[in-house]
Amino acid sequence: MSTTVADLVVQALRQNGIETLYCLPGVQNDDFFDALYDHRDSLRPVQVRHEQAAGYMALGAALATGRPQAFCVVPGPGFLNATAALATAYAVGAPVLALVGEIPLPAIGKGLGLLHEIPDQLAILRGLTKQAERISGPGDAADVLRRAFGALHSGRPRPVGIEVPASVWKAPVAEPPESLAAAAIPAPAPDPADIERAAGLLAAAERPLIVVGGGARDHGAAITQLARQLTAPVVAFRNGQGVVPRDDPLSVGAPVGRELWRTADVVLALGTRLAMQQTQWGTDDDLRIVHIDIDAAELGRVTAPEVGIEADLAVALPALLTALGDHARDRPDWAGETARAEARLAQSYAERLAPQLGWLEAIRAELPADGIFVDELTQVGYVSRFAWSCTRPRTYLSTGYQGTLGWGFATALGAAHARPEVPVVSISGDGGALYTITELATAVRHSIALTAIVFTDNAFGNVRRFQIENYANRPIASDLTSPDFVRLAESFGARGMRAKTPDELRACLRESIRDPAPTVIEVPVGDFPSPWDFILMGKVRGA
Amino acid sequence: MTSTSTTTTPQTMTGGQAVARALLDHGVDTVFGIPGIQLDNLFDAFYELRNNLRVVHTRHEQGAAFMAMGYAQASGRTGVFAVVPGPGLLNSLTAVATGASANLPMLGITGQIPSYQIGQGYGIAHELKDQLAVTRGVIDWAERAEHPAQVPALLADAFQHMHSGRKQPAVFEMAPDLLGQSAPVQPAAPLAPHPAPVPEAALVARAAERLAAAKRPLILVGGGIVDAEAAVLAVAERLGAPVVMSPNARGSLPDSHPLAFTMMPGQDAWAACDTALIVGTRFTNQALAWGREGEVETIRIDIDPMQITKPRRADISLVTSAEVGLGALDAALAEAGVEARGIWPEAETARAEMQAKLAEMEPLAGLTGALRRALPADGLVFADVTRFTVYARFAMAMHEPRSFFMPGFQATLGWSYPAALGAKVARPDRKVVALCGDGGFMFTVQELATAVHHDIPVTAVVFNNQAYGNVKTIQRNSYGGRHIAVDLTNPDFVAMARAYGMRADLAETPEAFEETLASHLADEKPSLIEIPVGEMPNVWSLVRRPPSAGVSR
Repeated sequence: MSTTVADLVVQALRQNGIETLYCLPGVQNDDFFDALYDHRDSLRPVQVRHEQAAGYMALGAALATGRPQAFCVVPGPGFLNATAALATAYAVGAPVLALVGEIPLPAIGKGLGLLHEIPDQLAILRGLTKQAERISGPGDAADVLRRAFGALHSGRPRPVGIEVPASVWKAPVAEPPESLAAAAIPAPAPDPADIERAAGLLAAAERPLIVVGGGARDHGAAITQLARQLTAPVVAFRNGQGVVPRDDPLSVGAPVGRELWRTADVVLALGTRLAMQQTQWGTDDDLRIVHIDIDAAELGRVTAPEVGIEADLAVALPALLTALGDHARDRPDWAGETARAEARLAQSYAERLAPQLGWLEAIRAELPADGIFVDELTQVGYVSRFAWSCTRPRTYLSTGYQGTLGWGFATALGAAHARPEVPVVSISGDGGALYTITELATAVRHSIALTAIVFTDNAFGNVRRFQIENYANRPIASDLTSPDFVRLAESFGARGMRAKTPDELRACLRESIRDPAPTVIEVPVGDFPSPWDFILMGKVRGA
Repeated sequence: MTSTSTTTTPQTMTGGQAVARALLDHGVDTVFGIPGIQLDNLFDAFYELRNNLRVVHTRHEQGAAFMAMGYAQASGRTGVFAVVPGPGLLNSLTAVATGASANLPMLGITGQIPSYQIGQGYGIAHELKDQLAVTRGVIDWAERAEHPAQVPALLADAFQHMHSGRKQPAVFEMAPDLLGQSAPVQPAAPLAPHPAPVPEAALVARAAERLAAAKRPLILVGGGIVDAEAAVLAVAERLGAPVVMSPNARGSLPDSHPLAFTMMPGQDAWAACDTALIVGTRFTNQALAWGREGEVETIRIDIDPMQITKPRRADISLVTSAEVGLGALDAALAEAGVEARGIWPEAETARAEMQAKLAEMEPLAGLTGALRRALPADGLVFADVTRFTVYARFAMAMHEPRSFFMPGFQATLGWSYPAALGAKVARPDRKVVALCGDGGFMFTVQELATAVHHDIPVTAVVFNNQAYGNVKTIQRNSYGGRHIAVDLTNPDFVAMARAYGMRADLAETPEAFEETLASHLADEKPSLIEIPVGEMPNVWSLVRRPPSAGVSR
């Protein structure tokens, strides 16, 4: 039997380290799934109940492992259903491959109204990924696949798309390539002169500050060393959490970082847009910025840095450490200021956000250091962005700037599927939880143990808060009637529990971590104090 | 459309108020949606108008957009939904694509990131690289208002676009700072939809002549026939021509009428016909699967000058609406003295034979009969893609126009339940049933909470075969039973629905189904009925369809 395009795609997935295909099958992709059938033990299909979950699971698996992950959906509605997940993967820098079916090649663009035809699917796919191409036949299949995996392994991690028309899957490939394994294309080497300038600036700084984003996820050791040598506090918000463990005195959350930003003289930005800091906290001429990012587009995104270096942190950070040489400097005043700011804000959180902290502390007390916490758009989640004690990289998963309501449960499911050896806890409100609740069926079918905590206030709580506080107490369309989540979980054959206090939550978590199974813990809550004073913080520098 | 509140002098209002006001000026009384920070000013404007504008909030943006679609399907009026930008909009695009495929007027209102940050790539909440470009990949009309003063005219244009020619969805977006900005705004009166072109008299005369001369005429109608039911009946009865209704046209002739054909007997009638009048349908499946190219004289009526050429040109093409085109033909036929011919015998035989075949397909026939008896004649049926509805779309007797609904050519899984909720909001006087498979139902299952919250009495009927059944059948029939990724582990649907706080029951036989459904419908409350099903006869084996994996030209 001759090799087909479908076989090549299966081969490329396997040779590039993909072991799971999160998917929902359908007629345009039938030939592909048949090719997959013979390899289903090494490239395991995990079928879901809505295509959004195929995307979110691949995203969660990619964030939890740091390795590319893939999902496969039918064109039209199937693809569109997964677009919110793709946009989120783009925002948080996750290497996710979208393998998307398409109507038969000869019909594309004809407007015949074939099943699942939309006017320009490839344009949409391109708008949501860093690269997307169509396989148009056996002639270009290998090249498209190599380019796609090359992009997944190289540069800034972001989603990549491949579109395959239904009529193309079974086309025979005349000379099948032996290997479709794609190598990473190395990022440009940093200019040694720039590294020297960066090192000089940092060595001379009185109050150096390091800001880390999602691009720094896998460079914690070098950054920790750098921070120690310089006595430079490291600020993380969402995707940079865990790069330097939060129990390190130099690792601080965003509100503390903002206090330090006020008087910092040199900022080293690593794998971050630095947008929140520059647009919200402000800049002035006394703030000197060294910005290192694998994506040149981020250098000077808001304002031009004094030293901007386009480079892979894996190369740039050792070079920077070498350039700093034996230079190490205690900055006792700066360290003291950091500790005081940390203590001041800890006190402030305790005074103003005690209810949220109570729940977070209960979770932290039961979730081991390597356990994964999946954030959502919910009151406890907002506080977790700065108050969660994250001690390992890739254990705090966030939607980043996309702020995707409803991502949490399905993303956590992907993380739990990809990292079965560690406990995974997701939190959401009752508003967010229902977006992907159908995947309880997926958790049960594929025996994926995760614990989903649902804080129920029978409202889109944050919306309601703004309607009351900012719009003269005129709430509209924000009150909800939610299901009984315990009975709901049980109706799926999952474990349902209810916790009314942080202590009860600890007991529930202990049980679900000791005896892993798909679990929903409903936590009824009332109004929480507003966390927004600690997130949308005003300027501390500049006009 | 009413314009009672339209005035001619500019008034100072926010962008959000301008949008809400424009909706009222276009006769909108309901908005489905989910609020969020970028739309706070819009929803606050909705609050001010809450006595005239009902906001029905849902549990996923797809639900809001599907409800707007069902509202449009059941009423013919514009279905409106409001969702946040980025993920919210993306979550709604499947429904927009589905509405486009079913030619429905649906208006999406969405936000943006702040206007001064668009295109900067700062990573603002809900930012996409190019949101308008994404929307334009799905539909033609997607526009952004750049100032409150622009809103009335832009929305008037959107409404005109949606209701002109082949009806289509539109999506409007506006940045949050502009929704909050106050400015003098001049309200705009609704623009009348573009009138249907008047077909050339000579072409009409030739078409009438060819039809009058036909021995075995056939009329094929699609979704474009809605609101032209009287006109098609008149022409059909003059010619004695069977009216073959695509699933989107079901009910345009009551099935008790001897000329009412579904596509099942229609494909057999096609095999014998000599002249076909093709009205308001893409003609895709028929042309690609039914053959006889060049053997059947074709006369086509379509409002869309592009669509009428696809997939191939007809012998005579009248670019106009079904109502105008059929009206002109009817007049020409009357003038020629054509009236009240009887149906041709081959067609009559095809209909009777197919009905007999379909009646033997148990348990499908028994379940369909139970549904028909329990549901009033004017009840609304929303048929998701599932084994049962593949049968019902051809075999269930329909009595009224706009009573049987499908998700267009997109055949979108999960559309039916939220669409049925939207329909019930539009037509509270009707009984509404959503028919779903276990696979499809779970796509939009969270809207059970919406039904309970807003007390929308729709009964969901879930046919549970523990699989993506259509895919599984194809894997069995075409891939040697190499089943992969198709088996499902479902919740206990009855227990699940009860966890949402609604009545739910299991029905294991057609008799139990009939009794349970009648009782649920009498309750007039949100409810669910689960029907466990096993192997069912393969209806597709009776249907001539274009090959799924290839189009020959």
